Formats: sequence, structure tokens, C-alpha cells
Amino acid sequence: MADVGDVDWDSLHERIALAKAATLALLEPDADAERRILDERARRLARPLELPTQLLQLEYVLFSVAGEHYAIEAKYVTRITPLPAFEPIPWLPLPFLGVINHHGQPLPLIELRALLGAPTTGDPLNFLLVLGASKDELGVAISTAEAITLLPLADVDASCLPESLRGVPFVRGLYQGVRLVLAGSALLEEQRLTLTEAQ
Amino acid sequence: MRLTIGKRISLGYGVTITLFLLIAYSSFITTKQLVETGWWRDHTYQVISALESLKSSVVDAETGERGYLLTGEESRLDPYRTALSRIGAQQAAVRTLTSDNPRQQARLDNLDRLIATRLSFLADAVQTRKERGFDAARLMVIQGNARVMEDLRRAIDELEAEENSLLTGRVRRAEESVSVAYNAIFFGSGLALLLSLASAYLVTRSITRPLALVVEGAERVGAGDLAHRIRLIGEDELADLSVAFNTMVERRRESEQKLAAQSAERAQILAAVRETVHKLGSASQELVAGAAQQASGMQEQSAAVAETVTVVDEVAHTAAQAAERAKSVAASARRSEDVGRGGRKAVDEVVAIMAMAKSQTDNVAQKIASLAEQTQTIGEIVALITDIADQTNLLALNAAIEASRAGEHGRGFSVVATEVKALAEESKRATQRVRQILGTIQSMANTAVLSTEEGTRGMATATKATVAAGEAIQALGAVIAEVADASAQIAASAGQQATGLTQIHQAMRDISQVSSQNLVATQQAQRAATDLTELGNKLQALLSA
Repeated sequence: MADVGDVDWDSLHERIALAKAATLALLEPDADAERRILDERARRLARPLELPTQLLQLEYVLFSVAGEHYAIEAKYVTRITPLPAFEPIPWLPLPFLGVINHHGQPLPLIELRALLGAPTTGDPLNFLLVLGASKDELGVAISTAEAITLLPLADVDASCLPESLRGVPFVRGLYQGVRLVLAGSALLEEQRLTLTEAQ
Repeated sequence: MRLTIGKRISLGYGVTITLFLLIAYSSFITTKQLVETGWWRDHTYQVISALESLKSSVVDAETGERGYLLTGEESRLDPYRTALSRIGAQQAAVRTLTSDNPRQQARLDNLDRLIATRLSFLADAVQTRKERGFDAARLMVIQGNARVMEDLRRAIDELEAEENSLLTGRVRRAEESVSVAYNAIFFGSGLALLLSLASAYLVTRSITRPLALVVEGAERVGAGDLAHRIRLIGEDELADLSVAFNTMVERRRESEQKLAAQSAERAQILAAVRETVHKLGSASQELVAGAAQQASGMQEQSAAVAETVTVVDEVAHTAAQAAERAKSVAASARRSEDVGRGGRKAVDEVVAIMAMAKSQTDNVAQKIASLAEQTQTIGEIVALITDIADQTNLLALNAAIEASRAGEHGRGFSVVATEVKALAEESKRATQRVRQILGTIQSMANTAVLSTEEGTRGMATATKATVAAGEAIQALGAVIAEVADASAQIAASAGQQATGLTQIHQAMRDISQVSSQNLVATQQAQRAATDLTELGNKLQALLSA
């Protein structure tokens, strides 16, 4: 059994008291601390608005599907939500995954990799990217939604596309060699995504 | 023939000196010829000059005679008269200069005759002019022999030609002599140099070769090779030296053999003496060792007796003390019973305190477990915050999309959406950090519970040990009581022991006196043996030296 004299009980009590006081100061600030926080907020609000150039020209939504990175014009994106449950329709082949109930309206859901002719294995699809020019027209299942940013078209290179994607109307090119840049209007007008009466 | 070193060196120098004397003699002869040739050349020039002067005087006489014949003036005869005064001496000089040449003397005879004829004719013409006038003189000249003068000139030319021919021959011989001298000096010097070098090489080699053999022989003999002999080359002084050296080495070898035989004989004698000394030393050492061992035994016996006496004294003293201490032990045993009761009570108190400490430790473990459960609750809250941060992030993204679609009107809203997104991401990072800290707290709580559990086990063990100590103290009290009784009995028997010990003490003192006397005698024997050993060692050292 250890000797009681080996433990510095005073130091332990002091450390516990300090931790308790620091936690209380963070969770329940006193009047002075509260005033300092409010003053800091006031100073930040008083500063003139600095709009970053990047935000003034938001154009592209960046997202990924199973580790592959994509970008599409923001003006054709109406919303990003968690992917709801959907029902597969037997007579609709890939790239259609099925139809979802979107605000009371049926919305076709597609698998982008199947549309591009790539295998459909990998990370799970967690989010829904809703596309449309004036109304919600098409749902795309994606893995993550990354950000909205400006992509300079000069840096989008169509010459380095793989052979299978050359000539695809809704593919603009590669940005920095790793991100596939899509053309929203062409994607919405893609014939393979048009449902006929029979379907 | 015996060719000694001195003769060889003299021969070498003699060849060189002879060659250089020959060259010098050749140079002397050539120089002498050159000097003679120069003298004869000057002599020839003197003869030619004298002939030219004679011819000039004859011409002057002719010129003066004709001037007088033409003019009749007496002064015109001055050259004639001057020439007449010189011609005789000039003829004599030429005759003297050519006295060594009979051919030239014969030509001079002819020349003298022609000169005399001409001078006679000139004198007759002058006399005729003086006495009979110009016409008679003119007629005489016309009728005179004009060939005399031509013959006279031809005779002088022949004399000069002879002298020039002699001069040419002498100059050619002088040039040949010079050429011979040059060749003699140049080739002779080269030949002399080569012969000198060859002579020097041969002489040096004839000396250094046998000398090197002598040096090698001296080195090998100096290194101990007495069987080595110098090979003889030639019959000079070095050969004599080699023979003397070989003789010296042979005598040295014979001396060495004799010395080795004497050394071996002496070594045998010394070995016999050494063996005897060694045996003597061993015997004396054994004697010393025996004496020392005996002395040591006597000393040990004396010391043992003295020690026994001391021990007996101490035992007697201790027995007295034991009797006293046995009494005090009995008293102490009684006091120990009281102390044992006090110890039993203290042990009971310790057991009670240990039980209380165990209860408190259990309480601490419970609280630590409760703390770990509380961290689980915090983890649930953190998960909730993470979920809210994810939803906020998605909302901010949608808001940014809406702001982007709204164009210029959505600029301000896009800023807010970006800030909201940044806050959501920061919240997510903070919750991840909180999650890490919670993991650390849970790990530390687990460690603390384990430590507390171990401490509880330790206290249980300590409690058992304390109970055992209490029981041992109780048993010790009973033993101490028995010790008190035994101590009383010891005190009673101690007096009887003291009497017996006094008798033993007196007997041991008598033994000690006898032992001391024996020790003195043994030490004297040991000193004698030691002296004998030292003598043996000194003798052995002398033999080894």
C-alpha cells in the first residue's frame, strides 16, 4: 500500500479548483467577461463589410461522388439535402436510381458515375443535389457537398479528358487535372435523362 | 707479374701523362715549324725587296744617263751617280740573303755580269757625251746592245720567281703542319680523355671489387659467421689483406671453439655446484619452514591459551552478568506483558482505520465510475452538436447557392452564409477536439478505477497482516511470561558456574607460562635456519652471476 505522504494532495486540490473555475468562466461568464465578449462583437460588426472577390462571383458547386471530384454551375443547383429514401423503378435502367418525393413532386434520381460510364462502387451516397434552371428537374445522388467557389474557365482544360469523355456534351473539361467540370444546361438537356411517355 | 695497387695507379697516370706529353710535343713541333715558316716568308720578302731595289737602282742609272745624254746638263747625272753608289751594296745584300740557295747564287752571278756590262756601257755613253757631244753619244746608243737590259730584267724576274716558288712551298708546308697540329690536339685530346677514363675505371674497379669483398667479409664475420672466407682476386695488397683476414678469422674460429669447450666444462661444474646449493637451500628452507611452523604453532597455542584464559574470564564475568540480566529479564518480561496488551489495542485500532479507508476508497471508485458515465452523457451532447454543425453546414451551403442564384441581390446574404458555414465547420472541429478530450478522460478514469481497485486490494492485504500482527503480539506475551520464569532459574544456576570457571582460569594460566618458554626456544632455532637459508641464497646468486 502506497504511503499517504507520497501524494501531493494540496496540489491536486488546487488543480481541480482551477479547472472548475476555468470551466465556469467559459460556460457562465461573469459580468465583466460578458461585457468583453459583447464589446468584441460590436467591434467586429462596426467594421465595414469586406466582400471577398470569390463570393461575389460564386458560380460553381463543388461536390464528390465516391472519391471523384466534380463541379457544376451554381445557377443550375437549387438545393442540397440529405439523400431521402427512394424507390427503385424496375423498368428504368441506370443511370436512373429511382424517383423521390421532393416537396410533393416526383423527382428522377440519377447516378452520375453510371451516366459517365464509370463503375458504380465505392463510398456511400449521402446527399441529394437538386438541379434545375427555373424549377427542380433532376436529382443527383452525391457523397459530399464541398463548397461553392469560382472556377476560372481558362483553367478548365478539355484536352486532357480521357477518351471516353471526349465529345460528351455536358462535360466541359478537367480543372487542375482532378476535378471534372460539368455543364449544367447540357446535363439537364441530356437525352438519356429524358423520360418518354412510355417510361 | 705482380701488379700492385700503386703500380696500377702509376700505370693509369703514366698512360694519361704520356698521351698529354705526345700532344704537347706535337704542338711544340708544329709551332716551331710555324715560326720557321714565318721567318722564311719574311726572308723571301726581304730577298724580293732587295731585288726590287736593285732593279730600281739600275733603272735610275739608266734614267739619269739618258737625261744627261739628251740635255748635256750635269745635274741630270744625279740619279745615275746615286744608283751607282747603291748598286754594289744591293748586290752584296742579295747575295748574302740567297747564300743558302746555290741556284739563286748562280743566277746572281749572271745578274752581276749583266749589271756590270750595262753599267760599263752607261759609263762609256756618258763619257762619249761629255767628250764628243750628243751625236756621237746618240750613235753609240743606237749601235749598242739593247738586249742587255732585257736580260737583266729577266734575270731579276727569275730570281723573284724562284723566291715566290719557295714561299709558296713553305706556306703550304706551314698549313699542313697547322692541320696536323689541330688533328693531333683534337683527336689526341679525345683519345687521351677516353684512355684516361678507361684507365681510371679499370684501376678503380680493380681496387673496389676486392675491397667490397673484404667489407662484406668483415660484416659477415662481425655478424658471427666465422665460417665465411673472402674470395681472393688478383695478387695485390688487397689480396694480401684478404689472406690475412681469412687467417685472422680462422684463428678466431679456433679460439671460439676452445672457448666454447671451456665454457661447457665450466657450465657443468657450475651446474653441479648450483644443484648442491639448491639442495642446501631447499633443506634450509624446509628447516626454516618447519621452525616457523613450529613457532607459529607455539604462538597459536600460546594465543589460544591466552584467549582461553580471556574467554574464561569473560565467561565468568558474563555468567555474573547473566545472573543479573536474568533478573532484569524477568522484570522486563513482566513489563512486556503490559506492552503487548497496548500493542494489541493499537492493532485493533489500525484494523478499524483500514476498514474505514477501504470504504472511502470504494466510494472514490464509485465516484470515478460515475464521472466516466457523465462523460458518456457529454459525448452524446457532442454528437448532437456535431449533427447540428453538419446540418448548419448544409444549410449554409444551400443559402450560398440561393444567394448565388439571386445574383447581385444575394451578395450580402452570401457573406452571412459563408460565415455561418465557417462557424459550422469550426463547431465541428471543436466537437472533434472535445471528443478526443472525452476519450482521454474516460481512459484516465478507467486507469484511476484500476488503481483504486489495486489500492483496495492492498489495504485488504494490509488489514490481514495487521490482524496477524495482533495475534502474534498476543502469542508473544505468553512467551515472554515463560521467559521470565526461565530467567529466574538461570539466575540461580549462574553462581555455581562462577566457582567452576575460577578453577579453569588458574589451570589455563599455568599452561600459558609453559607455552611461552617453548616459543622462545623455537624462535631461536628459526633464526639459525634463516641464517643458513640466506647463506645458500647468496651462494646461488654468485653462481648465477
